[in-house]
Amino acid sequence: MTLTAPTSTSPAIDAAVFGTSVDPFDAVLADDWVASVDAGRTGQLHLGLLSAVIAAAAGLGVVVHGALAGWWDITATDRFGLDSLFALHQNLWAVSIAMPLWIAVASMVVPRQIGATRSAFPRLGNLALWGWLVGTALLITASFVTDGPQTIHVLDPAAATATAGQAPRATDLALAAIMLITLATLAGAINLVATILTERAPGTKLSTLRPFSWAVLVTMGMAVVTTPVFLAGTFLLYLDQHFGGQLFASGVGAQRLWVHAIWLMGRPESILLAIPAVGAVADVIVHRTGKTLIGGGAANGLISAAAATSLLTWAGRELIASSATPPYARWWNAVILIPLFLLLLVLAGSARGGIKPDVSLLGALGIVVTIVAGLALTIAVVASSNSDIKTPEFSQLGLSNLLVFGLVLLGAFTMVIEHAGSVYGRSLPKPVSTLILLAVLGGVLVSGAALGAGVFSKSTDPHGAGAIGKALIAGGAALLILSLASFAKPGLSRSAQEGGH
Amino acid sequence: MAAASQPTVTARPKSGNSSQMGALLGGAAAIMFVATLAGAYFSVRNWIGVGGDDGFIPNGLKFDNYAGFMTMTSALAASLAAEWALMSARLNQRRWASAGFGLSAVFLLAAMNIVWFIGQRSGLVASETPYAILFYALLASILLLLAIGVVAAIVTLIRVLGGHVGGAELLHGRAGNWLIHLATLAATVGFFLIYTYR
Repeated sequence: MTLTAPTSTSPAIDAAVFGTSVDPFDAVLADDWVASVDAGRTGQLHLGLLSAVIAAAAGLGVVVHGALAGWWDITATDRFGLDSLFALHQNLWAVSIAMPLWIAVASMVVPRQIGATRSAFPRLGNLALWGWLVGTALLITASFVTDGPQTIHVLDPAAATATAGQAPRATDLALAAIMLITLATLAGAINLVATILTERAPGTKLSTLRPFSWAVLVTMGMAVVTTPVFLAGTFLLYLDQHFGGQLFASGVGAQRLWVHAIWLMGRPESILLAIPAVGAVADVIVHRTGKTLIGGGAANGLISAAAATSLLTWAGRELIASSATPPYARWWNAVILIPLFLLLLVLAGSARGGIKPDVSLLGALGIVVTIVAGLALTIAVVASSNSDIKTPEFSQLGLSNLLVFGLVLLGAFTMVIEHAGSVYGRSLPKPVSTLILLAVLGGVLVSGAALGAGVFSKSTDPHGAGAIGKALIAGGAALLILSLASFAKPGLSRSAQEGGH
Repeated sequence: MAAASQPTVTARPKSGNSSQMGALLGGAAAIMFVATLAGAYFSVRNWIGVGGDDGFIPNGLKFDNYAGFMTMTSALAASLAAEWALMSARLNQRRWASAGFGLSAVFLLAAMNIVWFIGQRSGLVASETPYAILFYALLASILLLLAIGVVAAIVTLIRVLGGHVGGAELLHGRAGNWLIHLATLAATVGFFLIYTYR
């Protein structure tokens, strides 16, 4: 029996849509994309879908910040409350975008940099993509169940406990989705670490890895040991929510444990996310100068030091935390940034003279500016007394916008633009890539600085500027989707892949 | 003719064994998962305190040490059987190696059965105490890791039968054994938390 692939009734449509030589079902969908074991191709699909989620999450940010700035009233006009939208916005950025974006970009770039012909666990790479997609879909769906997750942030145990048993369906679904995305992230991290350690081309030593690949190895290695902590904590929270338990009730130690050790921003991963961005800067400098960085392996050593200090900080905070608010936590946060600062000095020294200007340099410069802005805000928060900080929640939001999500977006987009030629077979047009980077950089700086300004002044309303910043980011992401979509014509994609390998 | 003209395809040398690396990385992740549950157990136990009417362990809760001890013993036996099997595989004694991995899978299945029994007979209600949530979370995690161990033992058994593990080719066998030892470690940690550090 011969199976024939489904086609439309019109050969003209087939030719226009699929091209005359491409079998639409078998070749394009099934083998090339859905069940592809090619890490680069999986990464391309992952990146395309992620760009759409980034644009959606940033658009949601515009809606939420606009409502908080008083531009419009969501609660009066929409059946979905502001809290539900805010929860979705935060969860998308923290769980669905930050680490998965690095996994997608690293899946495309790292195998090429290390000369690997395949990834160590191609099916695990597929799981990272499809698990993430299903989890993200469920997370969005959870916001449409009854009134959505009944918490400002579904991962905040204090808020979650206050509503235990009141909205079990929505909160259960959101937590299950977060667990699924976290599992997919773990699968992607294991695949990348194993690929770098076991699939390098003969003669490629770990000590001679390109800075971005080294940064990915360090980050994903740390993610392998820190992500399960978050997963276990979320599992406990899920059980507690589902059965209406007492584990995270006020006055029980699990709540303290959550805040200091498990909660996303309490883990080293929040700073770890910045490390591949620094690796991206080093990579661009090495590529554009054609020379190795000054100090030989100093850059790789400092990248490792930043990861190690973030882990020590995590452990240290637990050891010194004798109360609900550890008094030295903010100093520990500053310690993490020392290796990053030294790394910037190494990169600045390496970039002196003989650098070929290109669009990716704009991205590298944007990353450096964002780190400096984040450092300045951190030092301002650390140096001030608690009474100076009028609205502590903004310090966290401002820093996470700059040092976590801002660096992830800038670093990932810079690497995509830098390597588009080898990944997709052709580079993005310079005006388009410049516009993408400028929009994202502007969005990150405006929203980060606005929220940072809210730290010290009660009179400052940062939400209006936050909405503008998010709108810029949404625009940049949308432009990237359109550019990638133009590469996704079947014939071009196929030839690009063949050329890429 | 066609076969003769085809170039010889040889596997490109790699920098390491991906099966072993995957088992190591997955094992590290699983250890961190169980360690987090253990950390939460100690944290909540110390916070609430032991004893009294509102103590960490619900009043009147009594566990028969026999079931817990048998879980740990079965898992330890599975680990020993797996190591014996790998040693036999190294000596190219395929029959003994197959028996060892088969025995390992059976021991792990027995351990799973006891863990299920402990959960069913505990009488704890999840919504009533923080201890119950931690108890069931630990049991579920141990059950999952034991199941992974069973799969690892069966896959390694098939590899032995198929001639993929034996003699100098032991990397896949070692990777499977690490997963089995991981299940044993989880069962042992669970035993000490539930039965010893009450």
